Amino acid sequence: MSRLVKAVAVLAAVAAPARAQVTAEVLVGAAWSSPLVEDVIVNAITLQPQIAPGLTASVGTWLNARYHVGGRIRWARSDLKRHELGERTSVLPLTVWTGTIVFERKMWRSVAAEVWFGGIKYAAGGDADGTVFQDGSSLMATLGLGVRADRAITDRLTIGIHVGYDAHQFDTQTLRTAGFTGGRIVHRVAVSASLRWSQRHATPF
Amino acid sequence: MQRHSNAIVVLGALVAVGACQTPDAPVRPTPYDFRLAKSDTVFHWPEAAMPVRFYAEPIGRLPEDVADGLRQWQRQFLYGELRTTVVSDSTQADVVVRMASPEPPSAPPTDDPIRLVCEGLTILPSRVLDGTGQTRFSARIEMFLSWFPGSDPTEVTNCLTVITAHEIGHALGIFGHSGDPVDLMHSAPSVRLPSSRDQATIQALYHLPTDILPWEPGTVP
Repeated sequence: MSRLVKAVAVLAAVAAPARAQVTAEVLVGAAWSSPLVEDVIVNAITLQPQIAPGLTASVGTWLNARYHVGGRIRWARSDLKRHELGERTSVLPLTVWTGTIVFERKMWRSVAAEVWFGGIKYAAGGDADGTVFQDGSSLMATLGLGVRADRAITDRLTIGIHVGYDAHQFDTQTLRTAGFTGGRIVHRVAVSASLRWSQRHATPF
Repeated sequence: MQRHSNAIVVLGALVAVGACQTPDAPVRPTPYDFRLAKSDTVFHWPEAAMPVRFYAEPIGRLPEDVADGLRQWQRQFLYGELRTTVVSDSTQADVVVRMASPEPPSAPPTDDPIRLVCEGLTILPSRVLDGTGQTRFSARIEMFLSWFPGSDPTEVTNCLTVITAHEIGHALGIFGHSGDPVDLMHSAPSVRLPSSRDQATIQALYHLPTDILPWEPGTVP
């Protein structure tokens, strides 16, 4: 983690002094998540969110012609499913909030790479008693990277496609109480369509 | 070059995090016997019957004890295997809980040691073959609680709370008893909450195929 922070600091440092150009963006897409928990009680059991539609809002600024930094909040909601003996059973509706700081660097033409870090929070819907969320869920650190391709449609608007991967260590108080140790690394992949508005010109500087 | 090495650092961190898959499921206690004696069959409420509907006769603290007991048992699960609800109409219930003696004396519950000044009985209906050839209970499950006249009101309250939770364990499918007095499903329970062995037992039960289906209106001739 300290390496990541160091890398992010270096990225920010190499960017030229800011000539503020504010951007605002919305992304609509869907995310796949790897299982949150794997267990064996008589049978092998996995707990995995279904593919989750998501909505993302982001604000940021271009630091120079290549670098962009922003804050991003993502909301996604789907059913949490229990997989056992080939059957999938709904456990509860699950909302996932993700807040991140995103660093973007233009790579080639309209293609840019991103790295981000932040926090992820699970919010169970309905009665969570009898689930891994019955004692709530704390904020978990997440880090990720992505690629995006944008195309200007007006002076100030671009549309694009965004593919992102992130990882976090999933853990809840209920799992710790039940004797789980160490948490589990959860991987997520999201694909989104984006609409970005820029204060001045869609193509910066 | 520096920028490339920074990117490699970031990628390396992600790969390293991703590689740390830790299988960390806990070691659970060995379950005690939960099968139905003689027939050696298993019953638990199937997913199609969720939420399991309990009716508690509105007498004394019985509705509160039933709600608390259901919550405690439901909280023994991790993966949503059991969902329960309390209904106000006994004809809509899967399990009916009644007081078999007069209204118990009123006293708030305490943390005092449990004295068995009450008792409970869970009545399992007979099993029949339904129209599809599956074994099914022929009626609702019924639970009866009673207390011993002349007992201390506080002891009655504490006892009914524990015995209600114990009987709910039977209604959920634990048809046996634990041999360990620290378990709620011991034949003479002295603890208020399900133990880790109670938890392991009901968890194992709900991951086995059920041999008996619950009663449903119209399914049994």
